[in-house]
Amino acid sequence: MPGIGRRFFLKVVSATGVAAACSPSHAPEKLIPLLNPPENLVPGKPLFYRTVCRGCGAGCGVTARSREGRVVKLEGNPDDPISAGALCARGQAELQGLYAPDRLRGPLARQGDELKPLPWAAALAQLGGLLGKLRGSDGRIAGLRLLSRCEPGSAGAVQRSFASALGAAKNARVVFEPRDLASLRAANMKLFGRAELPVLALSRARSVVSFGADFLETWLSPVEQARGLMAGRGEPDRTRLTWISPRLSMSGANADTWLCTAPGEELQVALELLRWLLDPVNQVAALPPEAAAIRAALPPPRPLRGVSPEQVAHLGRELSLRRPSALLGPPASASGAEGRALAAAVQLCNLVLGNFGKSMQLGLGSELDAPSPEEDLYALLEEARRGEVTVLLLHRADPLGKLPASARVEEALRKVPLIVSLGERLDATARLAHFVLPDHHALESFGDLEPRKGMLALQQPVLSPLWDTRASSQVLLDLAAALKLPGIADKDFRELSKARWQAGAKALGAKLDTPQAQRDVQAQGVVVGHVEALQPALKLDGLAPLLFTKPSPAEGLHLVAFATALANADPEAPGWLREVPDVLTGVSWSSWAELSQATAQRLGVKTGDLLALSTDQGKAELAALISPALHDDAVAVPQDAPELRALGTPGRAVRLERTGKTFPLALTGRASQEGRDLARVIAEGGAPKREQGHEQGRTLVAPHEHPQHRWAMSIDLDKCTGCQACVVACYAENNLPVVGPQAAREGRLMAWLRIQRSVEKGASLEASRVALLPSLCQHCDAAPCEPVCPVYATYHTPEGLNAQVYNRCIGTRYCANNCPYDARVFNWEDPVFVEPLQMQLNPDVSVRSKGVMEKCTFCVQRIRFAEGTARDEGRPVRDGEVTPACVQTCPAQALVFGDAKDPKSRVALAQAESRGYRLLEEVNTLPAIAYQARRGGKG
Amino acid sequence: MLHEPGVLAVFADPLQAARAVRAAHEAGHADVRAAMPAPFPEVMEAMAQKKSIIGAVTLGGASVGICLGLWLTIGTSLALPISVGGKPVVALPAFLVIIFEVTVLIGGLSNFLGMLIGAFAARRKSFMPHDPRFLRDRIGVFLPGAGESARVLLRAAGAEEVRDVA
Amino acid sequence: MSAAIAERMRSLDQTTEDALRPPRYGWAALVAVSLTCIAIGVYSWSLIIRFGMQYTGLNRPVGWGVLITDFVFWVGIAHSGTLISAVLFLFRARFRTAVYRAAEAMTVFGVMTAGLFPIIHLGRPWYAHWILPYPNQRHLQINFRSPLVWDAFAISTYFCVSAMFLLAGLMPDAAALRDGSQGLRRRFYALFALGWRGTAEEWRHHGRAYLFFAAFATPLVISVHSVVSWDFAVSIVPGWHSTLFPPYFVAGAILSGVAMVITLLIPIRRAMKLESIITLDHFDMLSRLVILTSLILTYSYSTEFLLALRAGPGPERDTLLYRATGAFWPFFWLMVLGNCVGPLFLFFKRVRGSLVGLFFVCVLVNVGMWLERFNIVVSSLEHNRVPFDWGTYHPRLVEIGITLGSFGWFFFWFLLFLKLLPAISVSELKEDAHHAALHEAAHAA
Repeated sequence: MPGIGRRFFLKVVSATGVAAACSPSHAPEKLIPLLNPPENLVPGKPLFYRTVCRGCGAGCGVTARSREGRVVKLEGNPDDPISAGALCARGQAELQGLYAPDRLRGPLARQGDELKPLPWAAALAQLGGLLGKLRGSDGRIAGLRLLSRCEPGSAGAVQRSFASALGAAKNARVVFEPRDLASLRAANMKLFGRAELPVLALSRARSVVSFGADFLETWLSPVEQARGLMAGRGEPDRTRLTWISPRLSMSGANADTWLCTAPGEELQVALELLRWLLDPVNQVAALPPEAAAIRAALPPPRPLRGVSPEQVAHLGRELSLRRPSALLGPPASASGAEGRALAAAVQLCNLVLGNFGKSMQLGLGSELDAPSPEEDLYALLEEARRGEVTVLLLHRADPLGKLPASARVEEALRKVPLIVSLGERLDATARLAHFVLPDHHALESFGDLEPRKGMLALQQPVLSPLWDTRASSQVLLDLAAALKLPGIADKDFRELSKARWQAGAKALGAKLDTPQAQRDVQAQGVVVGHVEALQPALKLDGLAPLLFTKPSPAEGLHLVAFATALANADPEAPGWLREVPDVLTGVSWSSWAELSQATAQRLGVKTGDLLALSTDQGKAELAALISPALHDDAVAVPQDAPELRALGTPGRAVRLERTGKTFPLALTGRASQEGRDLARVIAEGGAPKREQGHEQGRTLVAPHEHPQHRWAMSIDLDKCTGCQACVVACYAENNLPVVGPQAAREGRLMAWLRIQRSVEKGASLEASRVALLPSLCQHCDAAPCEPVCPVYATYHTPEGLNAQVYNRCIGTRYCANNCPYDARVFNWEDPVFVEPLQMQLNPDVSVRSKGVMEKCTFCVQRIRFAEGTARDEGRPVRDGEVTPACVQTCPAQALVFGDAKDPKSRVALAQAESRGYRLLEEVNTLPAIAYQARRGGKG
Repeated sequence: MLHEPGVLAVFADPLQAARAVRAAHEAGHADVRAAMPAPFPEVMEAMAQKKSIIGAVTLGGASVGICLGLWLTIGTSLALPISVGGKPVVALPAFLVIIFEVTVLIGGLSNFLGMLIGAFAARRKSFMPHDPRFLRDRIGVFLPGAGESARVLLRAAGAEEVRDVA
Repeated sequence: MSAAIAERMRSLDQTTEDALRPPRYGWAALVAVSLTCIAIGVYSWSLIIRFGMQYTGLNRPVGWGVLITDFVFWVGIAHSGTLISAVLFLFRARFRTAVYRAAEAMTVFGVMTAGLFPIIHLGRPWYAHWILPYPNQRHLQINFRSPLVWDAFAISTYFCVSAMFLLAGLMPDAAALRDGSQGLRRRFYALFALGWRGTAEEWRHHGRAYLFFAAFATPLVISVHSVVSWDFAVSIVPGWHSTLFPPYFVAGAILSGVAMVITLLIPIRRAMKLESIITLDHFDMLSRLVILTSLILTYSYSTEFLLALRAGPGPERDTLLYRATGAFWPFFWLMVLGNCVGPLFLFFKRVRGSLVGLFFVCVLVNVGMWLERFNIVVSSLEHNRVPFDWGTYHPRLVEIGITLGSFGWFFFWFLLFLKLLPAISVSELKEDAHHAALHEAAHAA
């Protein structure tokens, strides 16, 4: 036969032989877990679904990449004005929430002391029966309460109608959002009569001032805000950021100026700033008419401890000149009258500077289902303690796990005869429930929500439910039907939601007449109308009491809570968020308590000592960590730390004692460059200093030929916020295993991409800066790792990639030793993906085995995908079409990827930028990655 | 095993053995054979052997090694031109190490085999009566096909014992 | 006088044959110990194979540790043998005859031990053969630009050549033993004698071949440890990347090798009653070698540091200073004590002359040389170019177990050798004996 050579023949023979010989150990599994696969589901071809991220209140639109019926990656929805294609670390980790091994896999009902599995029908029948018995003559249940997280959409509507139909009390439904910016809401209510959160357009602000608001980590809408702030960075006249807080957090690390206040002194600083702005002496231009009134309402000045009046004046002058600006605050941890006062002062500054309607927009925040004021929640708990609550429905609300111990939640819950928990996992509250009816994960359910006015985000399942779960809203509808509740006609939540969002979409001017049009909107994932921000009218009455002040806190240690972009301290967080080290401290897998160097010396504490913290609320044990950028009076604890619940709300005085024990903190990386100038900073307007004495690119032999492409990256250090969304994206895209605390301690994290930190100590604490450096394989032209490999496991591809062939690798680790960037990662053990986390694995990337070297591939699978599509469409690859996972997800758009051979490509232009430099130029490895030096503020 | 008649003398002193060998040569015995526990220079001189050809063999082996090394390094690199670290595909400075090692290896092997074959051939072509003492403390001198005159000559040289090998 | 020579020769044979009967219980005990060590080593390695390198103390950035240290150490040990037998042979240094056989055996077994480590330290040792050039279905050849491939070639060549060198020297002695024994032993010795009869014809070839071996082995010795040093010098790791390394490593290797020879010979001489053959003069000459190489090494250390300091601020200097003051500073100064200070005492005849002192100094040198390799390998990797990744490395039990195993493996073969084959070259000694006799005769006259 022509065409069949010996080799081929032998291959065929052996293949058939093997196939015939080995019988599979278990029944062959279908690649596609569907009975009759839809025609658009082609094995090997990814499908993209648009939906909404429910990780936090921001409501970013996401694109879910699905392969063979399993969603493998979450990315931002480019059509969504909030995420604009980017997604934060927490958002991407929602995927691990979906595949979390500890998710509930079916309904449970209490039998005696323990929860036993029960079929849905039985569970609902029992529950219906119980509710029926409890109904009074009017068909209502006096003691019924529904505690839910914020649901600005159909789900909320269903809950409200259910609660009002079955419950008697007027606030039968309480919305519980432990991370809600309640103070800001309250202040806006008092000042402008609008209980809403602002929408920020930081891209318009020339100066940003944050009073401890972690607006790049979790505060309000971090992805959008990072994009906004960094849109103004990189250029010589860049957006300036002033950070006012006892602790230099990640957001603060991006600041040009840090005013290190004493703990709890932010309020005074804000008031002094407001006072300075309003003081006629300073002749601030374009003051609003209310200026005088506000000035009159200001409390008498008080001496500042942490911050000098000059600093305040300096800031005031800057703000009066650089307009519009944006003042942000307070953080979620600020609470009570003081928090409200701070929020009010901040908003008044914004008003005085005329930021409203420009960078600070009111009237856009969704008013649907706003979280209830704290009072309602505590009232509910009090009623429960009095035994007046007979039925408590909990929807994704875990008061026991989230509220401080002082709230005495457990005592309250134990008094409730019937608790029904509608959630995803068995959290602290659900453990006390009588019925646990598991909800779908957000990625498994239909829905719609209004993240902000004039916007409608559509939620749709991206894969068939993994377990025997049911949408909570559906459960409520079923119960309503069983109990024949008046006024609830709908039977099917999906239909209800569809009708609702279609009405909403029409209101926003979307065309939905044809089914195709409806599908298009669903495929779009978001409907955007146009709503004008309004100029808020200040209500002068009650201004003075609002702006109350108390003397600066006395000397002595105070508790400070700070937010982190990841959730290393949260034991319930998914592996990615726990393992990827906190960008400023390098801690993973545990919570910690930060002390300033001076304080640590005074108390004789070393990093890793186990400290006993005690407040008037309670005590907790935390590992000490000496922070280079913290006020001496502050003891800072991550706000995710469960220990914080025992210690009570931040701001209170705290006592420290050494327990004599130590805690094995998992710490990664040293926060110093040893003056090697890897992450470079240049003075404003200045050019980066070049290394002397070596000619870049001079080599003995002719440089590489790159016939077609030369893939390259550029990283703008002026834009990188350090949020580590890129790192988590890399974990998700490239099947990086989560190795756990022990391996983390041993320095065996598998990250291909790390954000390296280094603290440059200044003359004063406030002058110290944190330099961040995203570090990954530099894909050098003259890669030192390549020639030392005896078996060609790593080599240089014609497209300029430094390729690693896992199957060839025998594990000499010579390449890793010889890599000047320490970019290579060795598999010290076989990776473990606990069921069902392995479902998240990206089929385009092989899972590496023990003894093999691996490293960043510039997401070669995505390059090939783009090249393939281009070939199919018979066109060259477009610039920006190829994006590695890290580049794709960067909220600040600090990373640019493309073909350096094309002189017009964005990456080529970026690399030609005057701030550009390569890492370790002295070793002349000719990296494919160019960094742009960070522009140093005037400090 | 080939066998030849002749006269075998046993010496205790290498000098005497050497004297005997020389005398035998003078007496016209072209083919004098000896065995000894160590290569005593006097005796070896007296034997006046021609140089061993092992040198040539080894040289041949070494040059084969060089060629093999060149072929292995350059050949395989050209057959599979993989670009690593911006280095040329044929990187001679690096290859020199390999070439040297292969040369020494093949050279050494041929040297050893040459010696074994040489010794083996010698044992095959010229018969020398074996006596364990020749590996310990005595020196044997053997005159193939010699007669009475030789016996006298050997005794005169100071042989401890002289016997005919039939 | 003729009787005198024969007498000497007979006594030589006698001593060697006695030497083949070492104190039975002591010998058996030592073999048992080394076998236990081997068992420990094998078990430790099996752990790595089954569960991955997580059982070692290695991490990011320290990719090489004790295992590579052991590799370099054993290659070093393997160096004196060929030096003594080949180089000194070319220099016609008479004192070598008494000691070179033991040294050569040490070389062969040293290489046999060293050769294990490149395999053991692999992440996937079951693919170790991929480092060898052979036609394969993977359509892939090896990368001759990689120092690790140079290693594979250098080590295997060195093993073959020194093994053949040893066998060539053994033939006549093995033949003598063959004729003196019966049964299994006879067969065994016949194997090594390769049909040797001691005829002038055989000696003719043997002499030439031996000369060529010496000629080959000498550059080989230099090349092998240069190649090993290139494993480091070819890289761009600060503290490794230095043109000084080849000569520096060769000197170090010879120092450690000679020191090991002395460390082994002193007990052997006592146990096997070889005092008449291995005399104090031999040790005197060897200890002079120790002094010489130790001085070269001291010079290399200082050069390395001066160059680094001269290079000004930067990775080079940081790493070198870290080596002397960092986490492993005691190792560094112990190394200086062992390799630079200790040997200086050998300048004094009293130390050189007393076997106890000599033994002590040489053991110290062996420790120092192991630590030198450890310092070079580990401290350089701990402080690479990116300070963010600076880390530390602490050896784990598994690595220590494997090291123990390697010592067991080495001594097992060496003990076997002592029991079965002549530890000294009898035939060459006989030649010397003859010369000595001539001299005495001349003096008498």
